[in-house]
Amino acid sequence: METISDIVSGMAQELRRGTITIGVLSQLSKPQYGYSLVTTLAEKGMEVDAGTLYPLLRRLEKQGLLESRWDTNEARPRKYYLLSDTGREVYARLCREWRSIAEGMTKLLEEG
Amino acid sequence: MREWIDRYVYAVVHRLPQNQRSDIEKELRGLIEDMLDERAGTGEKEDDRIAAVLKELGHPDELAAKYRGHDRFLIGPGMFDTYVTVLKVVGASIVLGMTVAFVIGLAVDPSAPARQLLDYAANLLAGLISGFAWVTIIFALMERFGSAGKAGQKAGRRDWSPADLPPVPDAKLSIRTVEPVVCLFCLVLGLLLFLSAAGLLTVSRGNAPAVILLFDPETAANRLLLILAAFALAKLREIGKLAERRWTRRLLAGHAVAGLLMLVAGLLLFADASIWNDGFVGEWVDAGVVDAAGEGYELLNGIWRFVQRIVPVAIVAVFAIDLAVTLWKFRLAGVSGKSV
Repeated sequence: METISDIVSGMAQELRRGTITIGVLSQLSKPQYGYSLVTTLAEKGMEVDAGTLYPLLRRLEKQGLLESRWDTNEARPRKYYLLSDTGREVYARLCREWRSIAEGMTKLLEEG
Repeated sequence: MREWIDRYVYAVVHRLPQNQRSDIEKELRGLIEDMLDERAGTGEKEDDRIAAVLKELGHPDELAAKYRGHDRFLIGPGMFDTYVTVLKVVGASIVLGMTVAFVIGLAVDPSAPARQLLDYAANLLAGLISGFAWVTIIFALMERFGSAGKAGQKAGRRDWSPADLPPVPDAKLSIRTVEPVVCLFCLVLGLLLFLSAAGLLTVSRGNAPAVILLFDPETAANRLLLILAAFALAKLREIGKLAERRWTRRLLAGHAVAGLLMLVAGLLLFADASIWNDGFVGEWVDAGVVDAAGEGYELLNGIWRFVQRIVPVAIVAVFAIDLAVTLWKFRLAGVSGKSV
């Protein structure tokens, strides 16, 4: 049988999953490569596996939300990602969505 | 073991689309090196660090699936239950058909039961394998074929209205499971009979009474592919019916195409008289059943020539009737498929 903490961690994971995209977009107004993004997100309290983030970056690029370029000047070639114009627009709208969700949730939780 | 990294990267990228592989590989290698650097100060041995990093990235299959963004399967969960049902029905009809043929064979010629049992086992195995293959191929095609349709449906689902729902199909268009099952059973039996009438089944004859063949073994062997193709098409139609369970336009179109191909195969098979056993009438005389000078001989000869002439005509006639019925059902399916 599932224990209460199993249930909670499963549901919390579901909740966090939806927030990863908006978290990633929030950090890409300056170019970053995948692993630096893993680190900055972790520093700011959002733990994302590299194995989740790397495919996500490629998907967002395919959707036209991100632009990328390879930097081969450093010892190790790295692929840098940056918000595209579309990406900026999408991020701005997602922020509005997020705020309205957060507001609604706060109201629900406080009023019970 | 630096080689573990190569193995890991290969395991991830080799199942991804060709045009993305080198890019993903480069990025993945960079990531692994970054993660190794991160652990450089921990004092762990290199092997341990590599193992830890790769474990952290997760199983290569899972990572590859995340890169693909979707799961791959031959037959998806949506159709799997039907697939298993059809598989069972097809398997059962093959076993039943073969067993009946075996029992009949034993009754006709009980001289070498061990040999017949061996033949039976071999035929059964071959039949089950090919049945399994056919069913799987059909469902895999439906999965492939249907997935584009499903994506289209999904897009159209947002603005649907209850009025768009198709009416409950006409009872004339529903297919009872027993019908294709019986047909499959008959087809398996039919193929065995056809082959044995051409002397192509390895049934030991021993000292049994002379067996008079309907078809010329050599010509039949040359045209074996046509025979097998015609029967395979017929079985395919029945399996399609089992999978679809009612006469849809798609099923009817497939039915008609398969029918046309069967017509071609049938006509090629009976293109000339060489398929028939030349000595058929003579062998009856040799067996002492018919007297070469009597009326019976003339009668048998006449029937034999009539049969040879009528078979191609019958093939065309059966095709024409089947086509007419199919077209009628096609119209019916169109009418009942439209919203009222």
